Amino acid sequence: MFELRGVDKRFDAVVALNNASLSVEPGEVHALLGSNGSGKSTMIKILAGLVNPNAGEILIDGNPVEIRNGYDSRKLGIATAFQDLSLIPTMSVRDNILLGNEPRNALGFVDQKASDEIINRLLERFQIDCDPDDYVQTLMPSTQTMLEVAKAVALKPRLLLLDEVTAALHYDEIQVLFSVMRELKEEGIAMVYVTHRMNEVFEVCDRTTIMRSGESVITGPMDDFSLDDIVYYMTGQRPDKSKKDVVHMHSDEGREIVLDVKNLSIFPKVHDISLRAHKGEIVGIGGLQGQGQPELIRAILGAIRYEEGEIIYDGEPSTLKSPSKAVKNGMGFISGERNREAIFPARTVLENILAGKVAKGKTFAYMPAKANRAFAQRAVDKYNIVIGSLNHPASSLSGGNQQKLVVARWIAMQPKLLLLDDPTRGVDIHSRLEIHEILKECANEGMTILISSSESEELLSLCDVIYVFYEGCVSAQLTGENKTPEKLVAAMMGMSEDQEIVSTMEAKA
Amino acid sequence: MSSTKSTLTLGQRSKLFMQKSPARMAFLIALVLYAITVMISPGSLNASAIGSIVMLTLLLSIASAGQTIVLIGGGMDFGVGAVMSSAAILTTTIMNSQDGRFFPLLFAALAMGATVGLLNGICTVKIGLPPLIVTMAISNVITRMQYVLTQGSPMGYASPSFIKSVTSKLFGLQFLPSIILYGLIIIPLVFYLLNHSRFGKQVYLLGNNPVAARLNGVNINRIQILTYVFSGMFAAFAGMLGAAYMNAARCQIFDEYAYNSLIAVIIGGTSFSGGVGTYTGSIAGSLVMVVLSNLLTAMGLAQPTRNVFMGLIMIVLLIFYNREKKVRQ
Amino acid sequence: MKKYLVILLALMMVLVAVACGPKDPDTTGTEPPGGDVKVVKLASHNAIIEGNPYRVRYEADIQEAAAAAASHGLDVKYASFVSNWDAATESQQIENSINEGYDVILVNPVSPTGLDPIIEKAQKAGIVYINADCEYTSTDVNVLNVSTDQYYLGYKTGTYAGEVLGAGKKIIMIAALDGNQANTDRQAGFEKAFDEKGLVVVGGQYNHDWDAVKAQQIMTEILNSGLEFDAVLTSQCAEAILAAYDAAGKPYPEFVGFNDTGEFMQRVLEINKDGRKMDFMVLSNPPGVGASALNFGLNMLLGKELKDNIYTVPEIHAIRLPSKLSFTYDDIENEEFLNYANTMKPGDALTYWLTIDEVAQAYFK
Repeated sequence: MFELRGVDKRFDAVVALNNASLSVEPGEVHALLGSNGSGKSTMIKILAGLVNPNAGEILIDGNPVEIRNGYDSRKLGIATAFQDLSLIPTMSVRDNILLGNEPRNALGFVDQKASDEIINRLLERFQIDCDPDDYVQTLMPSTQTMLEVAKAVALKPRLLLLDEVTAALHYDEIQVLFSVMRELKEEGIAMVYVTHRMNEVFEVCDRTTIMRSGESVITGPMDDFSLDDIVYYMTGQRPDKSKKDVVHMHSDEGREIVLDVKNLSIFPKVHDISLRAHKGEIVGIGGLQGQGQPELIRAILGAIRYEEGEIIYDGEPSTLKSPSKAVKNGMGFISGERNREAIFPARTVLENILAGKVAKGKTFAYMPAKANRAFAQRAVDKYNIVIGSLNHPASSLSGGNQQKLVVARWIAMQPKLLLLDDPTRGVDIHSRLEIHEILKECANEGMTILISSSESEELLSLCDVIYVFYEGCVSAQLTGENKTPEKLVAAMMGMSEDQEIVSTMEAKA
Repeated sequence: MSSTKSTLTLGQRSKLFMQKSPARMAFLIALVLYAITVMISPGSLNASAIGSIVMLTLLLSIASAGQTIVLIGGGMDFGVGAVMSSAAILTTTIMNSQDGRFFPLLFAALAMGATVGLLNGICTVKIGLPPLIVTMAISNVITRMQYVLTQGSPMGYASPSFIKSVTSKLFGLQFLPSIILYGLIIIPLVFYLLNHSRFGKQVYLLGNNPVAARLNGVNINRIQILTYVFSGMFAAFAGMLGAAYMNAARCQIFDEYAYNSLIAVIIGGTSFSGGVGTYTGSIAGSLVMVVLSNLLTAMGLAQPTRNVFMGLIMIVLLIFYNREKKVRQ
Repeated sequence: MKKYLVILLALMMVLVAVACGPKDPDTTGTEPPGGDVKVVKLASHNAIIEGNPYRVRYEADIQEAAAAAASHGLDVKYASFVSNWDAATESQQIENSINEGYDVILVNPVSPTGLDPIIEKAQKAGIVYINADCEYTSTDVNVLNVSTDQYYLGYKTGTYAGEVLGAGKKIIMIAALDGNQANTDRQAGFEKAFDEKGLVVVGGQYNHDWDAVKAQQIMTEILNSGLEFDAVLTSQCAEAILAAYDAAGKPYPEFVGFNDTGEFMQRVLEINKDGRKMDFMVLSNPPGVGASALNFGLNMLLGKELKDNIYTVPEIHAIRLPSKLSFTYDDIENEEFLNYANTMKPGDALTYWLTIDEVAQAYFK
């Protein structure tokens, strides 16, 4: 029996786990449930040895043990299949599975025959259709995921951790996985299963532990829970079924439609998305991670191509092929991936604020230094960005101020349509509220804002309308009094009652 | 040495100074090197010596102008030397000692430079090959073309008036070679491009974070290609001036400028990884190269020893700055 | 994207068209003057041609000499092979030439050793095998080396400078590439002459590595350093020395030499056009040495034998040809000199080759 007791984990000021517990019996599949940021992944990482807890203990068969790193974890009989794969793309299937675990013959050399046998048996068991010598990078993503699981199983663990492995799998592959899981159960192996797909949980899991804000709220047999119960424990509120979900396009009818996305599909994440944004509206996009939100925003911006559907921007079908054209046409984009997609760390605060202005206009035109400075200073003053000097590099600012810098860059340009992709990720609460205020003010002045966020509260407090994405489709459109945390979470889980909403929406579109 | 009350050691302070302003540091190094030269050989403190240093520095600075822009934009142009050589051959062939052919020549040379730059840019940006390989390969092609078109021996000389416009002395002052007049056109042009135009600001953004620049609406492909086009054009212009300075041209005559321009730019504090650098720095870097070479000649060192010295000094300079400061996560 | 690709393709095609255009050399072999015509298949092996003006001229001279052999009833078919400085490619190519039955194999070798077995194979097959220009120094095979006497180039220049300057004058010496065999030989000649004539070398050791830009830079820097001297002796690249004087606005020295280019001749003529200002030495290091070597081979094919004790360096069977063509200030009105100066392109090097008869007379029984 594996047990986590009273575990705490803090990342700087952020509390990821707070007195969390988990116990898994041999021969059971234990579902670990919770919304984004509830601490599921941290629990898994502690067991896998990737994260060390600040407090609490780990017990195996009642004996306290220490897991300091991945090696310790493996030695204790724990194997993990990760959502973001741990396979090495440039190595063969064989080498990936046997890496560091090759069968040896009497002389200490790798036993080729024995390893072939192991591989073939494993591939057969998981019905993986590939050659042991294929390079992993040449395989389909779903096949790679199956390999990831197979690799973990090949270690013959006593505890198998499965972290959202089904997200990339097809239906029949999931069935194969479940049958393997049932076999493993017979063999007495303990499993922890993390997923956002509720139907799977009911199909394969025996017990569950539900987490909320870093705490383990409840543990019990699966049969004791209904879907509503799960949502209740995850959010702290019960979904209210008495109110019928009605699509309510508040007083938008007369307003100009700035953005109209129709049946958009982007391979492989987005299947069929329709949404609409009116002038001066803040439109939110919610959903679990990886449901196609970043892809949609980048397709609107022209940064990636889409296969099917139509984007109508400003009354005309958009044929934008690059972000530079989108920016010229009055769009702006603020990314939450600050280091990668937004900040120019070596350039000055001044240049960072000016970046939007720099992108738009005649290439060889003169940009007077004085006006630039005044422009930047105004932005700094207006949005309370804490800087040393306009000439200091952007890397000298704190994360929150860097993000405000990026927001100020675009707000100052007064774009017609502002796209935000999880803009407050990793931003402290104070800066976040300031950014919210800025956005609301802009919307009041007529800017249209499309914001994707992983934070439910952010969407609920900020947006006029929230489109919830699930598996590349819109699972709900929440407005007015329907904007409740419970409905949002339910829709994020893709729960079926929202079917009606989707159909109503399609009827309207 | 005066007091060292500050908590920083002299070494730490000089390192800080180097990182903060590589351009000023390079000017300082050049000054020190020149002082050493004068100490070793007092005869070298004369107006015409200074004039020749100005001359060679300006030639290298103009050749490095494009390299600076390309490097800041995150690329690298190893074709500067080949373009210069080709432009030099165009100069002697088109002029053939005749006055009055400057503007046709200017047009031809700049068109050649721009074409090579365009090829470099398209191959790096659109086909995605590493800039080092692309620019080297293309410079090989145009070097071959020099031989094919001239049969190995280019004809003619630069025109007398053009030679005079580069090498004569302004107001009869030995330390003012007239190439300064060309410098007065090129240097402000580069400063405008890099520091005062939208183009320059886009180049800096592109070099520092190409992904962010693209999502921010910078047409990064176009800008990157343009940096190579400018590099080709500045190199071509430098090649014309070089031909006037040398009177006649040979195939591959200025090929060394590919390395020299790169080193001058790096000494001037422009980062190999892009996004950081100034043209002032490149001019200072050019000055360091020229003065250092002067010093080694004044010391009367044999070529192999000179090469070793040159290499060692470069390594020391490069270790001192151009070290990336840690980016705050 | 498409637009760019189209431009790219168009440019590529233009480049290729230009690069492939006027390249094919005329096949040699003019109409034989009747009578018995003997066909001779000649293979010229070179380390590099394109990109090296000296070697381009070297091959062109061989072709001219091949055509000229018609006067001796020989129809020489010329073929050229380039190894791009790769010794393995070189052996392969020579081996092929042996197998294909060439009559004369002329090799400007990549390295001075390593071809022994191939040379023996060629000689067994009755092929006339000659090393031209760069010497092949292995002592285990008996193979003729024909090259230009580099020592003589230095010695002749140094001696002449000593005569016009007089003993005790200060000179600077700018050598070519340190460690290069030709450079070493020339420097030995220079130094011998300086000793004999009492010239004093001042300053340090300078090298221009046969690079005009470097030569001009070094000369500029020497002028900058305030060193005092009367003459500049240099192993070629002398026109760059003069350009450095021009750019610095300094008066010319008493003597500059040697060099072999059209540019140098044109420059010294211009400098001295209003009377004597500066003496000079134009001295040929002829690319035609390959053509001369060919004519050694053709004489052998015609059945002649080398004179006894004819080798300059007997251990390696080397004949070093002293340069025949030189001009100084005394030749300033010499018609041959003026003719060369007025017709050569700036970058062209002075060349000549020994005819079959000249070779026969001087070196064969």
